[in-house]
Amino acid sequence: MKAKVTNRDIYQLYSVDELCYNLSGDKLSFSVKCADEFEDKYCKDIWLLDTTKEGGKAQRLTASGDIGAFIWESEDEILFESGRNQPKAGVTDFFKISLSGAEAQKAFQINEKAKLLAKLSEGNYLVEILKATDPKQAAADRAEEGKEFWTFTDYPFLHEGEGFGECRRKMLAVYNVEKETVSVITQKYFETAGYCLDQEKKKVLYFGETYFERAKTGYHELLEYDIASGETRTFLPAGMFKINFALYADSEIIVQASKRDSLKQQECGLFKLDREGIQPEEIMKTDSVYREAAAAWQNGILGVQAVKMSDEFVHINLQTKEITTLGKYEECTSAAETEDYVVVAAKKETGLPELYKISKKGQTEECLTQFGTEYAEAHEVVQPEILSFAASNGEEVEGIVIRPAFYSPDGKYPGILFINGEMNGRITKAYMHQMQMLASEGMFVFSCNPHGSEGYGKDFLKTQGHLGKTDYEQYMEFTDVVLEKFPQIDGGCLGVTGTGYGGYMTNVIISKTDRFRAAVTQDGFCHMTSECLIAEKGNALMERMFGEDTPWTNEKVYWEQSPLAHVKDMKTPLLFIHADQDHYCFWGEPMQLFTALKQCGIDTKFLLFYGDGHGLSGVRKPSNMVKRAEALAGWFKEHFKE
Amino acid sequence: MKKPFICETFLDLQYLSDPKISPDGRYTAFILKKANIKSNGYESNLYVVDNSDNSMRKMNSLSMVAAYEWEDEETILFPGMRSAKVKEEVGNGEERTSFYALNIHGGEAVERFTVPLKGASLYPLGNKEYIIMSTYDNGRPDVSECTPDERKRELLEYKRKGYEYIDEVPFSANGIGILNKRRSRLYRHNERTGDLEALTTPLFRVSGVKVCGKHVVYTGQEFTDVKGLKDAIYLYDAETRETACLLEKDLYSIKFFEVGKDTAIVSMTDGKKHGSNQNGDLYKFNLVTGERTLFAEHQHHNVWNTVTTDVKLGGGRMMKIDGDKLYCISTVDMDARIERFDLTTGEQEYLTETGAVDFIDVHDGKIICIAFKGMGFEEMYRIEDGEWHQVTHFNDEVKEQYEISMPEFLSVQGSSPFGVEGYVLKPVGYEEGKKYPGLLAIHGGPRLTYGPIFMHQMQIFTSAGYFVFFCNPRGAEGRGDEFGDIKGRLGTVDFDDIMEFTDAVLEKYPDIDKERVGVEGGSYGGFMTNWIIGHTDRFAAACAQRSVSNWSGMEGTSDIGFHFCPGNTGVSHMEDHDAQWRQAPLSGAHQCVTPTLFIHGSLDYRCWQQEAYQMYAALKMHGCPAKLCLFEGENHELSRSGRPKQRLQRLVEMFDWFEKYLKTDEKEAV
Repeated sequence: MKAKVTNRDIYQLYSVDELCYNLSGDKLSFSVKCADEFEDKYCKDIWLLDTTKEGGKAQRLTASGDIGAFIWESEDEILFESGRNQPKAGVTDFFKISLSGAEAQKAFQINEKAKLLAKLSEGNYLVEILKATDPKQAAADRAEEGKEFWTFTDYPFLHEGEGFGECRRKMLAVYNVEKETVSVITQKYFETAGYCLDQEKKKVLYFGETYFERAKTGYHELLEYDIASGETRTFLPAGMFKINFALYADSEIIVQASKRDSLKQQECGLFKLDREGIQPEEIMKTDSVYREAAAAWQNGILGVQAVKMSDEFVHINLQTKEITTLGKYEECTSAAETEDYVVVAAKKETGLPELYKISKKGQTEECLTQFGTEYAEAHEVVQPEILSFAASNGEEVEGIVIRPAFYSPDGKYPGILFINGEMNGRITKAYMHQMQMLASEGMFVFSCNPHGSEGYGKDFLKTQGHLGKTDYEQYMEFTDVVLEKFPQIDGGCLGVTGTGYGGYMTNVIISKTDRFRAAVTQDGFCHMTSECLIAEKGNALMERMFGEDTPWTNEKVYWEQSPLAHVKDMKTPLLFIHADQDHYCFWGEPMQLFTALKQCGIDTKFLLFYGDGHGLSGVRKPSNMVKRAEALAGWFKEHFKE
Repeated sequence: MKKPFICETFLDLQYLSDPKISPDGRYTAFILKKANIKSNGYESNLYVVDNSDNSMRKMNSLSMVAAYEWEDEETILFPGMRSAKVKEEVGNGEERTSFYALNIHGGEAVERFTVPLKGASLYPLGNKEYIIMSTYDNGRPDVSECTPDERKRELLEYKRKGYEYIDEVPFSANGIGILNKRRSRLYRHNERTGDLEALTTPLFRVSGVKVCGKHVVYTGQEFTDVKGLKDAIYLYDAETRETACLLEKDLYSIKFFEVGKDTAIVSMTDGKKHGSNQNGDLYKFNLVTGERTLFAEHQHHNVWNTVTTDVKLGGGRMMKIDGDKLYCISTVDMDARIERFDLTTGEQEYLTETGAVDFIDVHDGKIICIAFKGMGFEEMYRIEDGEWHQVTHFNDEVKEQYEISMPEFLSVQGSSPFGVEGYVLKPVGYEEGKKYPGLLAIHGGPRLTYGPIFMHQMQIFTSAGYFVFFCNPRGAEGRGDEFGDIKGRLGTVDFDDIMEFTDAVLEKYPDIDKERVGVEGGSYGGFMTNWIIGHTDRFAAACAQRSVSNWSGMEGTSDIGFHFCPGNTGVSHMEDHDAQWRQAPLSGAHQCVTPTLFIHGSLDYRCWQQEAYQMYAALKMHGCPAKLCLFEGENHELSRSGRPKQRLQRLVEMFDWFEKYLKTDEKEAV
């Protein structure tokens, strides 16, 4: 008999990312990240695979577990960032490792917090620098700025995953090894959001926003830097577009962006610019944001697109506007291409991430790795079943149901509504640890993609006026459908949980219904005015949720949308899980709801993690992830007892 | 030529606290603190004064002493950690407090006993028995059955855990952190037998304890989910070992209490008229019969010194029963006076007039106090027949060296039925006809008080050529409950008072450049600064410290408890969020054009950093110049007891901010 999925499975899980080919396209490098129980940290190392050989085996290159970004230095050398020598704060060490053997040797160091992006020419690298724009010298017998105190002069002032920061920017720079010079190519107060290097490695196309002493708007400027001449030219002026990506395609530049005036519709489109800087021409509207290696190929681009519950690797022909699906996965996190094929890191069915090789011509797909085979064979992972229904507002809503592990149709089981983590994100059929663990604990786990989810078209995505209302109604209708379809679920033993947006929705749900017997809010918002002012992307959230309304024109709608405002309607026992370094949702916010619930005499508890950031991806210690899962299952089990 | 005050000057000052007269009345011990910028902390030492000739000695040297008790007429007991063994045990996760005995007539302190308790303080019962108060952690694993190795592993694991369960409110304490299921607990310790007996249950939180003879009187309550606002009072008889309840919980807010022979005096209020901020009346409890009588109505004044300053540190006694007299400190208008009551007749008299008395002790009618007198620094005084006799001279030298700006009283009738009273400090080297920038300072509370005593921060600005002015608007302490109760009216009458006072200052002192007036304040003063910048553009710069911006968020976070916000705004967000929003500075933030500096501590559990974050972000979103300075590991007390480097940096940041916005024209002219 297979083993149950437990909270400790965290130590067997891993992720695969950062796929990159060497120049000749025969060797693929990628990173594998997993949890180290002894050190209680996440370890990332570089792996290698020869994809030209039939049955080639992935091989681990580095072993220190503290690898940062890495690039191909030559055909058989990889240059990477590593903390193995414990560099001082503000210094980054780089090492070179040869594929033909021997441990890595130190290559050089940059006296900045730097991330390798690309090799430009021998001894010249494009790097991303993260630093204070106006650093101050620490005086003797004075508190040290950036360590003992921080001064914020712009907005956002909190950056998720970064700790507190001074007025700092992500800058693009060229590093010259010989001269040890870091030449910043972006303007002083420019925050880089994305970049693309042309094929000859002579020009850098980049986008971002210059802001100083005022709030960042999220609207980008598109620029090009000529490495030889050092000149910069502007393609798209500031303040007009929110750009998802920009890339060189033959003689043109292709941009996926949302125009300022279309943003409220949550619309985005593909635009074409010629390199002489003619006005952007809209090629087509797009249903969702393209991600991962949105590279140009054959009159079009390649990328990952959310289509219903799947991540599809697609080719979009910009002339015919035809979209061809090359590969279909539950989740696809990274891709790299050669002349003839693409390799993606993806989760398929209930498996853990593997590498898949897809022919660009379609038709063939091959799984290159077996990282997750052992785990899959040993554990009772339940395949989610799709369950769709017609919502009362006429929308077709898709959902999934995971039956309990070792399920018997004659049994009676509790059921958990598990809400996805991202606003305008979605639930997929991919392996998700907390869901599978609850299934192993003998619970039905179900979820759906209600109005506001991506992958179902732009009308479906619209948030303003729907959040906490339409999505709530559809979650409830879905719950009804699930209960009807699966009489094995004990309707008196229902739970609800989610992280981030899912945490917010959990709060909303228990303020509107008592049908759930227990709830767990992970990293969820509670007070929208606080949230929109403090969060890193607070003003974007404000726009998305409330359109023109601000707390100063219509505070009522902010309060109305705040779970805190409805505390008196809450009866469901609620466990909060939150971390003190969550810079996307400051922990004071759930604390407000916690206190109010206590005042009302509701059964509630707060599990506070020290040092972690927002959501599951913000967890920095594996033991905290294990504890989180234990607390989640524990709360439900405790409250489902007779 | 005297020196100007600069940001660093507080480093030269010495702070006195906790005076206690020896049981025979011959000596007075006290604690002296001084900042040390190198170690970035405060030195804390024990001194003893001979009351016959005022001669004085520093008593400790091997380690610092921050708390102590007289055991008998020649022995002082203090907690410390000097033994390597105890240090190692604590390193292994054990809880320990050692007590040392120091004979004031000679010899170094010797270790007397160690108890397995954390952060313990003691009260001698005599005969080598003690009442001990310490922190009890209900969440700590039970390791009583473990092997030594297991025990160490479990305790260290608990110490290093990366999470915390919170299941009660309030759950934090400013300056301490998360305190969930941690309780101050009372024990009785017998030094001879080593017996340690808990007197209160694990979930009972002791708020205060006083010991006199066999009578141990303590206040507190047991709770699991929500701590009630009003504690109970208990009496433990050390002879019979029996405990009796003197007052049930949920009836009165207990402010202060003191125990004498067979009598306890408690300052408490039912808060029926003015809520929990209402000043206490004095009740007398007969400890033999348990009978309670209203001894003196005291609503007009409160017990303790509410006159604020940024140059004091440490605690001490505010009430004392000596013979048949009760002595206590009362804030009256802008002074903190010593007040005396006859316990039999109830007759009341003031023993001092001006000055701000922090701590007192009395023995056979002889009064010792630590106080601010005139524009001097804190020193110890003897009060005899209403006359002040200075005992210590720790800060005399500093006082001589610096140019102190003297406060000028200003009273304004304005629209208030009470009138507004305050003071103006002129710039050092003031020349009539020359134009100067001005700075309005607003105190915290709101039920605190500004008085004509020395405040370092203000003198930095007067030394740098600013007028500084401040007042006690409605809501402040010292003028009774009617004056002090502005519940539900925040940002209205208090704002009016402050603005009318500002008008009067500008009229009376035409040399203040109206275009170059700034405003600053901390806590409630930070709230008011935030309010002001959203409701008038008359100020050219502002500095809001440890401020409040959004009551509905503050309600569920502040360590004071959720009653604090409705206590001020008049209503909970659960009843009427609109009323809270109307009184929230954030609601006016979109109108703000005043360049504002926000200063906050990352561990401020009184007013959480989210308060500053929200106001700062709102200003940024509306294009108003703003800066937020966040101090790592500092709390609500940064300006008063923050680590010296951080405390200094706070002053520098504030000073630079006002220099930038209030002196620009001057610099350009030069």
